[in-house]
Amino acid sequence: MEKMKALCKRNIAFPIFALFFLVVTLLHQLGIVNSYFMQVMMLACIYIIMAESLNILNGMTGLSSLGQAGFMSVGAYSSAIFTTYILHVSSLPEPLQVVAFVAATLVGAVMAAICGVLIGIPALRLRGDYLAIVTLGFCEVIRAIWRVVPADIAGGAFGLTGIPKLANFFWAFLFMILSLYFCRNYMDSSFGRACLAIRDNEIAADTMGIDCFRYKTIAFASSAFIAGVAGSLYAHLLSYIHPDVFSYAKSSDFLVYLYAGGVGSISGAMLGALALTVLPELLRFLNDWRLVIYGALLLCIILFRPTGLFGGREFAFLQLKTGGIRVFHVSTFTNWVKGLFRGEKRVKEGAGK
Amino acid sequence: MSVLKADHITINFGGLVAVDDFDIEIEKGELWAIIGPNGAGKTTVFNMLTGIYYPTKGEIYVDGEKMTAKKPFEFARAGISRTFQNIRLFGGSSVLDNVKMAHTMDCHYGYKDMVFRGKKYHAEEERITKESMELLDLFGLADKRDYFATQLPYGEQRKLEIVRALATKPKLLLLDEPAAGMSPGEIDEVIALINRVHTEMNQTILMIEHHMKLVMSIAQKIKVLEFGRTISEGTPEYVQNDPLVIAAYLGGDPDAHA
Repeated sequence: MEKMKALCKRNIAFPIFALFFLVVTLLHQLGIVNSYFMQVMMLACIYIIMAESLNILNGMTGLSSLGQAGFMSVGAYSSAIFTTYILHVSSLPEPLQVVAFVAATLVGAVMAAICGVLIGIPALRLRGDYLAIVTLGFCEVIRAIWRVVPADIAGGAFGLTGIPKLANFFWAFLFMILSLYFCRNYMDSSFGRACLAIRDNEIAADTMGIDCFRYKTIAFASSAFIAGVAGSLYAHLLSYIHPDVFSYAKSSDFLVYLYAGGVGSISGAMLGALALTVLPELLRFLNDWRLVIYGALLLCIILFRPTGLFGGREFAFLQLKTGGIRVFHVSTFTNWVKGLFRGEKRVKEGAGK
Repeated sequence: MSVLKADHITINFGGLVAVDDFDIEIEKGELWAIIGPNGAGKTTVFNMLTGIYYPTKGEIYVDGEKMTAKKPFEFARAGISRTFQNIRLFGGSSVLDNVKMAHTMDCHYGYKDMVFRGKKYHAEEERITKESMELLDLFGLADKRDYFATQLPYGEQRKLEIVRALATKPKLLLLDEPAAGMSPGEIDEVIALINRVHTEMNQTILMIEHHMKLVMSIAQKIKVLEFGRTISEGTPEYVQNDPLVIAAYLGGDPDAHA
């Protein structure tokens, strides 16, 4: 109990997270929010994890990846095969099922990380657009592989069915928080700083004694690991996965979440994914106009706030020391809104002088 | 043993011999300068001494260790640190982070300590932050620690590059035109700064500089390059009076002055 108190004191976010979780669960139990809403929340958690994973590559290390869904599918398939075909989880007693699920998630994450390293070693000799094309190719190759693997192992072109539904809001939320703190710890360490240095100026980083290749590979593996966790959650939440779910379109969804939220910012990735997952659901009453509004909103974000909603700022609760100058206050937002109305005038006055 | 020894290094770019038979041996505590007209190959020498280019012929030794065909980060780990002619700071990061990034290679905790934030992580991070702040303090940049590196004025960006290079605790510091683009007043500051780094911190330095007042007032030994070849070498007085050097800078017949 004393330890708990100390933890709460050191990190104010901890009780807030716990409270949020309890409130949502309670509302669901009381029947105020329906299962559909809970499903959206769980998907939001999974997409937050994916946006965070992409942020390690695109935001921190400056490596463009278009194949994040590929890593997610590796995590999803390997964990699903692990629980469904290897452990036959449905026949196990319930406490063991939970253990099996956590183990499967780890298996999925590790498999994804191994893929990350295997892809990373040849691909990291490339930069920019070329690397992006290689990762895109990886995503498509993985998808094709799942199709040709015999149906009794991975479901083949029909997709893998009958995955036990082991993930719930608790697990999705917990893994989301864990990945958030993993990213925080990563960024705020010599590993994260090495990545930021490589992003800002690779030659300078190299001459400062940073082994660029090593740190890029670590970034690739870490990013793939988190994506694998998200994949496992996804498979055990929907209990059905199909190769086409993890297509290029999925990868670009994650990119949109990240860039709308603010690339390079952990808080930005989180809010971007949350907002853009929940928003289309809230717009359902607009029927066919839903995606038009969604697209228009995205366009507005990019036009009026090119650095993303967060513009490289971070929530104070993450207590980031690296780049700690960019703490997010509500005033940042209100000032920006005010600036939107005043901004043009100021530029004109300046030009007059 | 010499800190750095370049043993007759030559580099060709296609048919062009950019640097021909360059030879240098720097002892601990010395302050060397390389001068020469534009395009003489001075920065190419620096790029070879930091592993960015591999020499076509010849060997490089750092502290007696053979460094030929090693990568830039291995040169840095062996104790060679440099600044750049066109400033290459980590622009998207704060001033303090820039210096902390230079500490990456002497940060002794592993991946596990990073993920779980053990005692080792906290101890090392504290040490690195303290050392970085001390260094920034020494150069009067401590109160700008939270600025983005690109927000600093030009002169301070150059200064920060030197601080960042010093943060790797180099055996040899390479300065590529530390006074480029500075006003006469600022150049006096640069002279004082380099003097301080050299005498107070007992730092061995090799620099490239065009500004003659700076070079002649602080360098102990000078090497003069022209079209990739070394045309003169010695103390500032000797070099200043060498007819070959005068001819290289001012033109004319080198024999006429002899």
